[in-house]
Amino acid sequence: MNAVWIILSREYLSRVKKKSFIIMTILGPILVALFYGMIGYVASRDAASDSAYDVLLRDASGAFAARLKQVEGFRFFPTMASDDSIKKELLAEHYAGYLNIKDWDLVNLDSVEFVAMELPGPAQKRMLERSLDSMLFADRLSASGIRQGFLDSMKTPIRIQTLELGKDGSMVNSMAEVRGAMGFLMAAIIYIFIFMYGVMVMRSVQEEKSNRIVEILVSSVKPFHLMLGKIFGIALVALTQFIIWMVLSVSLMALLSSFSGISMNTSSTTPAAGMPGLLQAFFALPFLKMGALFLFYFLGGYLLYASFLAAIGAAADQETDTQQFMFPITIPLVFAFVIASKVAFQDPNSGLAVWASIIPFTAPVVMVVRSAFDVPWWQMLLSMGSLVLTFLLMVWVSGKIYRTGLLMYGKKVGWKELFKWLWYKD
Amino acid sequence: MNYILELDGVTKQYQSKRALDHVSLAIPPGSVYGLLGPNGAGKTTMLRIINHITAPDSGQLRFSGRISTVQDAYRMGYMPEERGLYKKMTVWDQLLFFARLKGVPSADAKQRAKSWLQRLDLLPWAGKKVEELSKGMAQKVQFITTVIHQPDLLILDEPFSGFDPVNADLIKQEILELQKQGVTVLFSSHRMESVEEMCSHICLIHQSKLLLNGSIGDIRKSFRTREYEVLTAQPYSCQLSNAAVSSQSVDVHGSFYCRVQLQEGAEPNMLIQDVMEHNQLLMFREWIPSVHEIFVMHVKGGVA
Repeated sequence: MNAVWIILSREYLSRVKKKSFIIMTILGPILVALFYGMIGYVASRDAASDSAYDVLLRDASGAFAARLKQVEGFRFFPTMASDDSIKKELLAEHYAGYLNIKDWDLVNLDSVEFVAMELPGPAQKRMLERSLDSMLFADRLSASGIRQGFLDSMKTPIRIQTLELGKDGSMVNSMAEVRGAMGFLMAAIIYIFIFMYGVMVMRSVQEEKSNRIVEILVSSVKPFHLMLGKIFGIALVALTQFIIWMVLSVSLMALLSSFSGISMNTSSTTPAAGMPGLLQAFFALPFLKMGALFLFYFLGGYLLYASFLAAIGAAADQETDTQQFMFPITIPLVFAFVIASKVAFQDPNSGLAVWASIIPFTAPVVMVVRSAFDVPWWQMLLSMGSLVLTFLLMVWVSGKIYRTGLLMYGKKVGWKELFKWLWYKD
Repeated sequence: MNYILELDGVTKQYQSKRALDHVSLAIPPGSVYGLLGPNGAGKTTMLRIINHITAPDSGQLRFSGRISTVQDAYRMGYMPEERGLYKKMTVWDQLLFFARLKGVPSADAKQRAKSWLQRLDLLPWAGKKVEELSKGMAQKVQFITTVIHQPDLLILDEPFSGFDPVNADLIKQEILELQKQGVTVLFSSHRMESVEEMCSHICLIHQSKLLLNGSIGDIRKSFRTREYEVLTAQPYSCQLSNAAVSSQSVDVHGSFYCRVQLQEGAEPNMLIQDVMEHNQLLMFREWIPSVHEIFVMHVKGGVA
């Protein structure tokens, strides 16, 4: 066991001390925060943009001049000047553009021109089109005798409040969307970490093999202990990175929202009534349960896949030889991820979802999503139990392959060969 | 006699190939034991069995008189033929890692690492990563990782391959120094002539079978052929009736060399007299085959 510990601490320390790890770990959340900050900044700047487009407007019918004032990002100046004099105005850069609405009846509005030296962007163009469109729509409505106000009253959006009835009779406002999103986020993290760190285990085993360090190692450590030390060492690296990311993200988020707290609350993108409900639903999530399950499936999934990837690293002579084995490993994970997105946003209790959350190869990704909703305890137990059992079996299988593969050189290994190795004695 | 290591009928079979076929040998403590044979003879397999990397299919391995267990590997230092170190790790961390893996307490490991680095002039490089070192320096580091836990038995697979002559000599001296301190050294080589002078004992393996083993003096003496080397100033033709010249040549200095096979009834002194009567004798000595020649005789002539 002492040897496992020495291997583990080497794997851990040599990785955590690496510059790339430190940079990724610290810079990661900062970059993400910066990214979101940028988006927010750009969005808020766009909204409050005061650099309006000054546009000359010639409206033959006179029906728009008064109403066009409200179009965001534009300022209109009605004119009746001739085309030539307008052109001169534009060339002199007194105005940025010229909107010419030539004919106007309720059927046609295709004779609208916009002239400018610097044409507006697609977003601005769409804005202009939409406002003209809605004006035309309103005009047509009133022409046919329907009042705009009447129409608006017909279009009240319906929002279903989902209330979860607890065993104790309490009712909690649970927003299915919030739960799904939270669960999906966790599933995505697990998916990414299994891939990232599983492959790291494989590479590291492979590197030791091609370096022949492994010969010195196995002369003092049992291959099985070597494998365990490596897998758990790298698991600790993953956890370290994850925890630092969490801490940094949360504190950065707190920092950002304290800076822009006011703007977040007055943000008009969410309906005024939606925001408290969203928060309430968020805080009503079973955090403790989800956290514990996340940790369990995070580790379980990683250990399952990493032990197999370790065996593959040991069996292969070169990294390119690992490709043929990577495919069948990638498939269940990707499949699980697809199911996870369905579970999160459509039906958390479909038959496919239930089975995928019990089968150990997809469970780590699928079950965490379902854990955001309510999962019958027997399904939970079955899923966890089968994951633990499969993991133990996998470690045994991988240990066998690992031990045989490590000292086997110059042989291209296939599935059949791997299977044979299971039955070798020392 | 107590042997530090004994192999008894050790056999190892890989799928299609028998790597070792009933090999038995005994290594006396404090010896420098050369495991000689061409590439693919089974040397590496034998070394791996000895330090418990693989287990034999049948046969027994005894260490210090009792059945060897995995624990014994901690008393051995193994340097594989294909050298390997963690490229991204510093020399210092590397030495401590391997020492601790072999069960050396951290404080001792530090002290020993320092003294070894000093001894091999590597101290200024302690903080460097292995990938920054020259090949020769990395080899020296590799050697330290092999001996830092003060093994009783040092196992070196082709120790001099890849060393430049200066470093090879340095490592040779270190090996002999360790041997003086009582360490038993077992190494393999396919270049028999180069290691002959270092070994006190040898064994020859060929096509997974042990051809012969024992102390180098005994082995060579047992291969005496009653041939004598004669160097003369003039061409020499033997007048003795019961002796025959087996080969003749002119050496670089213009002297004449010949090898004379004595037959029944002939004595070395009679040969010397014969030479001196007709010629000027420059050198006379008994010809004893080198290990390499013994090996060739075995493989080609089918002695055994």
